[in-house]
Amino acid sequence: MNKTYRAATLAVGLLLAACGGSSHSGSAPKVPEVVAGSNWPGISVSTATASAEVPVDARRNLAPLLATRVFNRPAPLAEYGLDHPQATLGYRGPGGQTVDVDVGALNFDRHFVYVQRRGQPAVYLVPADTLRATLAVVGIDLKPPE
Amino acid sequence: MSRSRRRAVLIGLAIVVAVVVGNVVAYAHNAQADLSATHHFSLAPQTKGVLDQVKAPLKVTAFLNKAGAEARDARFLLARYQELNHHISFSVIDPDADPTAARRFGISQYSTVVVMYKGRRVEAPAVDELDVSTAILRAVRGGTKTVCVLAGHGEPALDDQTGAGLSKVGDILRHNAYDVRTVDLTVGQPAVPADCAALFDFGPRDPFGPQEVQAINAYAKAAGRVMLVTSSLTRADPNPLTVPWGVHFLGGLVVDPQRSEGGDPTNVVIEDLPSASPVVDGVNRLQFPASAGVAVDPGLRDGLTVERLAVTSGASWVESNPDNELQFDKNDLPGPVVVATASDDSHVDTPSGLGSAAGGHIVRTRVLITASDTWLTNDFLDRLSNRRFFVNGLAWLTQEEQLLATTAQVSTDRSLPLTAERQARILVITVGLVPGLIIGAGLLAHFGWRRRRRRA
Repeated sequence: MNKTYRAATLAVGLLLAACGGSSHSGSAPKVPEVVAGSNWPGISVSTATASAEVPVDARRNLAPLLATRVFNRPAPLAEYGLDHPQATLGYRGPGGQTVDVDVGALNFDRHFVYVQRRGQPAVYLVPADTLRATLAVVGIDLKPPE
Repeated sequence: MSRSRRRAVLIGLAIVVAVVVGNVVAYAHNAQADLSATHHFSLAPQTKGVLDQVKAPLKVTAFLNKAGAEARDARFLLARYQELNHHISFSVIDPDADPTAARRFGISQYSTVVVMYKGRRVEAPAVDELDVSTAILRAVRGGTKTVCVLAGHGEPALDDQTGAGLSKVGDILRHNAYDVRTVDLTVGQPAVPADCAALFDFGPRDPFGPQEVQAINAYAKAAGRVMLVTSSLTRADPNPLTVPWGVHFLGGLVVDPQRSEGGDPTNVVIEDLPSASPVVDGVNRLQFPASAGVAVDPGLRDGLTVERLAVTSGASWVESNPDNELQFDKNDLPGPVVVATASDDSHVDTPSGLGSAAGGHIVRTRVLITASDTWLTNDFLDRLSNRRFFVNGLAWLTQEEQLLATTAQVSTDRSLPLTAERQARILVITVGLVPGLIIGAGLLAHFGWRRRRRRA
């Protein structure tokens, strides 16, 4: 009896685990994060000719920096304007760690911008509205969609 | 080895060989059957007709997010095109992953489809059958034709989506790659533009001015194509426009108690389509509400032929006094009544002052006349074969081989109405049958157990 009870319990457990697993796989995919966390004390934006600290109210869009799409095996970076980034976002953490994010070109319909975390292969698409105010600080005007 | 064992081995071997051969044959040949009730996974017959015209390599490029369901559906749809015509190839490009391709094609919106054929490029706004087929039709045709629609006499508008409007007609014209131009001859110097591939007058209510009649007839005589859709409701006299093409507008109201719908004898259903004209190809029956009658001139001049396209039943008549009564009397015209005609007038146009021996070219005029205009409105266009009739007429006038009559996007919503009969059936099953079976099974088990216990 005890053996039967244990077998039944195991079967029910496995069934529940399977149901749980399937419901998890059916849930919405996680939003890709280019830069995680919101507690970055300093974020700067720089170009080849200018550099500035991102205003506090604009930081909310940048930390965490969320993407709508991620390309893990991207085409050559020149296709995304990331061979010569138009700007770089510099994140400084409380422990002195730094993260640099290169900002490339607008996508084909100008709704998104290609970005890449320096040192990592993945290329991300970030809504242009997220970066528009920040890039304006260093004189970059992202053209709005037609 | 015994004989029976040998036979068993041989049968086993034969089965293995049959399975292997069957698999090899199946691998080399693809076949599929669309068993869905609405043929959701098949292309429409009109699309097949369009694809028959593709005689050279045609490339379809769809720009979509490759990760999305839309891209999967697009691949499925475009593969159906490729199956029907091997000149067609396709690719699905993700413009975000491949921005260079998007720039090369000049794409600025998702879901854009680019069709390339013989150096021509046509874009479709979405990856669905109607839009892709329309783009292919445009690419194959190589240019758009302009059709002109008369205004100024109370005609319903092509963008009017109400039941009495003509927005469905407007959609057909647009989907068949026609540029539609509205022509109002009541203002300025009346003249029908020479680039009108056809001139339509859909339901005039107010009279035509003499100069308008002159302009329309001058256009028609110069190899023009005219569709005149008039009715008993018009205050205009269409005869100056129809008589040159062998058709007399009788007016009145056609009453057909034998072939009509909804208990209204003026809501006429036409089943007699006696001509061999391409305008009635694939047309089984028509619904012509509030129709007047027309008569074909018995003495047609040389070169002019008139086809009686649609004729009412022998029990019908043209009521001359419809405001007072719908009874046949001596003032009425007995049926069968002609309600649609197609006139074709061909003559050789020779240079002036020279005889026919000097050569010349054939001038061909085509005029399609219907004595009802309600059949073309949004409320009636999809009744019986009305839509097919219009598309055939359009093709005949503009001399296009194949036009798209309808969208193949069928609704996947197959509703199951909860009728009283079904409600009763559900009640019997859920309240009676299912609980009854459970209780019955329980009782059987109970009595069986008691019997076994007594025996023990």
